[in-house]
Amino acid sequence: MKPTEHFDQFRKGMLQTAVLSSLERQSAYAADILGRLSGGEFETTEGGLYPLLSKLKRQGLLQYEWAESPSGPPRKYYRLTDEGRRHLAASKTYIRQLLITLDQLGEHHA
Amino acid sequence: MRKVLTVSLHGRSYKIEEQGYQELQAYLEHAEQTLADNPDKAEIMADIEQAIADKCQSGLHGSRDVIAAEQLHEVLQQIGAVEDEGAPAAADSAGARLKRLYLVREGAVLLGVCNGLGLYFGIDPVLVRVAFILLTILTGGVWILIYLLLGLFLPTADATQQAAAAGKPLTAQAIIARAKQRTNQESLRQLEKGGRIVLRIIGNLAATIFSVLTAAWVWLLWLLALGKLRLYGSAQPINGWRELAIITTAYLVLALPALLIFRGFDRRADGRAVPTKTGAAVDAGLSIVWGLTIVAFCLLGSLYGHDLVNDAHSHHGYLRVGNSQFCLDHSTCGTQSRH
Repeated sequence: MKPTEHFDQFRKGMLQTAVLSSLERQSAYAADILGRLSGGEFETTEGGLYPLLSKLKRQGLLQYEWAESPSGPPRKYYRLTDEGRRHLAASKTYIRQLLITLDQLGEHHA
Repeated sequence: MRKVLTVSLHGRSYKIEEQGYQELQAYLEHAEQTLADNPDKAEIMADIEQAIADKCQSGLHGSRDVIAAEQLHEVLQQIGAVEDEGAPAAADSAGARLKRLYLVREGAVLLGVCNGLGLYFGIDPVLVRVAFILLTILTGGVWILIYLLLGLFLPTADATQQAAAAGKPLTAQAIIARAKQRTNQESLRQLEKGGRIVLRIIGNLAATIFSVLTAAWVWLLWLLALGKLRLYGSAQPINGWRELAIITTAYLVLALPALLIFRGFDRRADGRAVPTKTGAAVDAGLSIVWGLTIVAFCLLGSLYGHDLVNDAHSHHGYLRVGNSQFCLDHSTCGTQSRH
């Protein structure tokens, strides 16, 4: 397994948190979420994002309403729920904790 | 000149070149398969359709009103293959196996039966092949029939299932390549379809002959059990059409439920909860025939049963059913009468 494939696993695991993060400050259309993620490690496509958004909505972490868009038909406008905010904060804390543990493991065995 | 098809995406109609249409269809089919177990399938499919429609719309301006195959290809590349969040690691979990039994053509020697069985049970197909050859020799060739029947009636695994079995993820590129291949091989597919139909007819014929032979075989066993037929010594002859009718109806009364149960199991194994129209008609027909044979058996038994016992009494002195002999005449055998 190439190192990039290892990173791919991390990236996949954290994509959900990244999507929640992108909605933390401001609600958005799916296209905006893709735009915010693009260029970074969490760049993804519609094919990956829509199933994820549906799952997060089913888990009650985010919610959407139909909103008129400047062009074309109404689109889903996504926002974090309170539950989603709590989950996002907990996820970030947990990821930080993981990094700390990784460092500590290294120190003990050095 | 290119042929154009009109499709409806998220409530709006779009004109798409035929090759682009094939690609789109393959893409959506794959998305549906990927999301088969996802509770939000309908919603995600609608989202994806809208995303495709939006991207296609942005490419149409001025007098252009047809979406070129190349443009659609570009759009699908951008959107990427749909990934199922419900079951993210299904394809790369250890020992990815087929959930159902399929014919797997890739790497097959003949029809892919042994290949499919090997993948299904997680063993080397070569071992399955050796087992099949041994079984064919041991059964004097009868096993070949089972192989042929499996080969004709099992569905062929498509690329998604094969990829899942091999642990390879199916990328957007792979889907698109497959769609292109599909268009190019259209004529070849027609040919293959024709060949498959011929094979299917041969298979149905073989199955019919096999069933008739089985029915005849069970009928012989039934006559043997009743003592009407013996491999050695003298058998009791069938006394006229009445006895023949009673034996036949009794045979049907016993055999038809077995057939119905077998059909039920067969359908279960097929994974289809809803029977096909013909299947349902056959089942209903069999049930009705079964009811009629029960009535016929009771009628015949009550009308002629007594005569037959008397016949047995006068000719042989006992009635033989299976391995037990029911004595009907003390003077011949000297034991206690059963009636």
